[in-house]
Amino acid sequence: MTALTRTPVTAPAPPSARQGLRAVLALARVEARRLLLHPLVLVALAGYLALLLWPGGEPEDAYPVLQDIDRETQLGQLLLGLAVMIAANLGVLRSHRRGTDGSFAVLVVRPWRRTCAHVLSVLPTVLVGALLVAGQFTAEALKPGAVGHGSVFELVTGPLLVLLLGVLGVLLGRVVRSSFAAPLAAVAVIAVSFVFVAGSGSPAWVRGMTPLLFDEGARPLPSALQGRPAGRHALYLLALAVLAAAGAVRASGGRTRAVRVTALTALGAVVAAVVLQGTAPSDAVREAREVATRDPAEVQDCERRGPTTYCAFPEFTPWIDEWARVTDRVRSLAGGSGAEQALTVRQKVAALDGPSGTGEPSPAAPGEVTASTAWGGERELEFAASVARGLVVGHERHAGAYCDARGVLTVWLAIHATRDGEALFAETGNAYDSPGVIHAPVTAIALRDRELTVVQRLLALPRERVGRAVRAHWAELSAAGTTTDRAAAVLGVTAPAETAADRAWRCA
Amino acid sequence: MRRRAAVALALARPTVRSLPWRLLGGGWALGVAVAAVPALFALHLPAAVLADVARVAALCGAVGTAFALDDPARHTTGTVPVPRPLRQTLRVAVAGLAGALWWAAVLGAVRAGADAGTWAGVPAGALTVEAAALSGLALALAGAAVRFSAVRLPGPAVAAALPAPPVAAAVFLPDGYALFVPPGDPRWADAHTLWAGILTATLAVWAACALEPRHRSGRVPGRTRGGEERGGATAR
Repeated sequence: MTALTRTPVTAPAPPSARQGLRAVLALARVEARRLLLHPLVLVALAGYLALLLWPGGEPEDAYPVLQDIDRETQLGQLLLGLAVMIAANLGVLRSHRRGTDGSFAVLVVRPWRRTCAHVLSVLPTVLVGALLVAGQFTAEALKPGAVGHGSVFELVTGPLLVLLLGVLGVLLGRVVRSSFAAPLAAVAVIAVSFVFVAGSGSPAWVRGMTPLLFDEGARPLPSALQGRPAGRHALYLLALAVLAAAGAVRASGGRTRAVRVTALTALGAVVAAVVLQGTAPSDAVREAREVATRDPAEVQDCERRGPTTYCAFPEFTPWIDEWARVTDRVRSLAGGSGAEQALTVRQKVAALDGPSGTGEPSPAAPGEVTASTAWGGERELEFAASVARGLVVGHERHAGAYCDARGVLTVWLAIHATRDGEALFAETGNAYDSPGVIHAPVTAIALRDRELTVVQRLLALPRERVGRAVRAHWAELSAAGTTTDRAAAVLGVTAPAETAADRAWRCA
Repeated sequence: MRRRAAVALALARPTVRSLPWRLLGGGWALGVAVAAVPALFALHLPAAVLADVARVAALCGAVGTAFALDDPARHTTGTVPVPRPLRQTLRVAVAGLAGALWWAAVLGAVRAGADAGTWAGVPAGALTVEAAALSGLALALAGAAVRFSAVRLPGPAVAAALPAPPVAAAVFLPDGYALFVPPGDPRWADAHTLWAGILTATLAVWAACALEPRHRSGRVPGRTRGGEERGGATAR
């Protein structure tokens, strides 16, 4: 009698959710490493680091205004994100390019789980981007001249851009089976971000839909007046990334309820974020801008030092020391009544157009001079010119050249009151292709060729000798109507004859 | 010489048939779409922005051009009597002719979106040199990839790398050597001498790389383990 023994054949049990998760995480780890070490991402990171660590830079960089610095971190992250998008796309399509899609079909890990792994693989690169942003901002914030407050939302915008673009790369790989789509998408992102830039004139919700909210104004604003919907924009980017991830999972067969719910929630968040961005700036911010522009004294802190009172927006008070250094220097050069004359240095902004505004503040009241919200390098020369004008002329109303002794005196004082004043004066003339013009706050201080020549001849003389003459003849030199010839004679040089080009100027 | 012309003529039709038209066309289509945005939305952009629009369109075209040297049969065509430079030249000539038509369409689209006065400020000739240089860059990269590796389809890698050089140039080049200058800028003439130099250099690199190496590359797929592409499925 033979017993028929049957070996039981059991089908392999479908993987439990936990095992599935482990497989996804293992794949994500491998893909994350490949993504981070992808040549394109490495080149982008190297370029980013080179830009950050490049020696030199403007003297203004030593006095960063943190509410502007925070959003300057975003541009580099966008470029890193473009590299991540292309690299993530190449990662998703690797099996397609190498013809191994068929082999994957027999694996237990389903395609949509592989997609989840690809989405997760972007996160370490996002983390690297976040570390770069943190390092960049911390380095700026630790500078002794730093003022203002950074916004967390502005800072996370950069890493969120990397996340969004990386996930978009995965989505593109699942929707278009060609590695040709991602580079074209990168070009499209470049077009939307840098060419068809939604300026401050376009509706706020259109602006909010672009990856970066560009705001490049003439001067920084106090952080309370920024009015940028940074938090809502960060929410928009995050929700869009989640939506793209859900789309990618769904496109590769993950039609579970969780995916559908996630996608719908993300879609709702995107729409809400776009709508909410459209409401910025709030009425409170508009009102604060109005007050800061028209009546800054109401919101400023003042500090009296000798004959000078310094009034600044609260965030900018650390710069009062710098202002005082330059002001005292102008006063000591002026001597006589110029050294004791009461003066209020008031910081002013033209905030009505928000951070994109390019307007100049209104002229200061009598007895006041204007300081701007930027400092360092040429800004120092401009401030010195503003103080010198306050002592010599006494107001800021004239937009034109000072065609007499006052112009010569103002510019000479400004140059000598500033560190490296002569070099900065030459530089500012070259930069704007307008020698003899100092872009002082409110109205520029311009010199005709004639007065400029006198100033240059004075700069060639020893400073002490000219300084003695300035102090001795202060009243005469600072009086309206003292001619350039007379000023040159008093100070020990000769003035060239007036030319036709000189006569074309509008004299103040 | 005459025989070569006859060969070229005979090869023209197969070349037209074998070019990856869908990919080329995809890049061109996006380029035209970008160029048409100002016209479609009545944006009234200044000449400087219109020049940038044309540049972005040119970059789209260059991404398509990156696929022009893709030859899935490369390892079998290495032994045919028609040398690779002639075959590649034919491909580039055919794609270039179609590309010229496309570029005319791009400029037409940009023009349709500009006022007569603004259009006068857009130097179309110089922008054409820029577009040709960008496509030349794609050709040079693809040619080098073919020459120095056993890859059959250099397109995907070249297309992926292609946006990097222009972005790097825009970010890193010092002001005096800026490439993407707005029309009317004093550096315009210098920049376009540079662009013409880039065009010449990239075409020279491509021409130099077109020659078949004396020895067949050791890294032929299937024979060694180091081959970049394994398996025989159609890629892309």
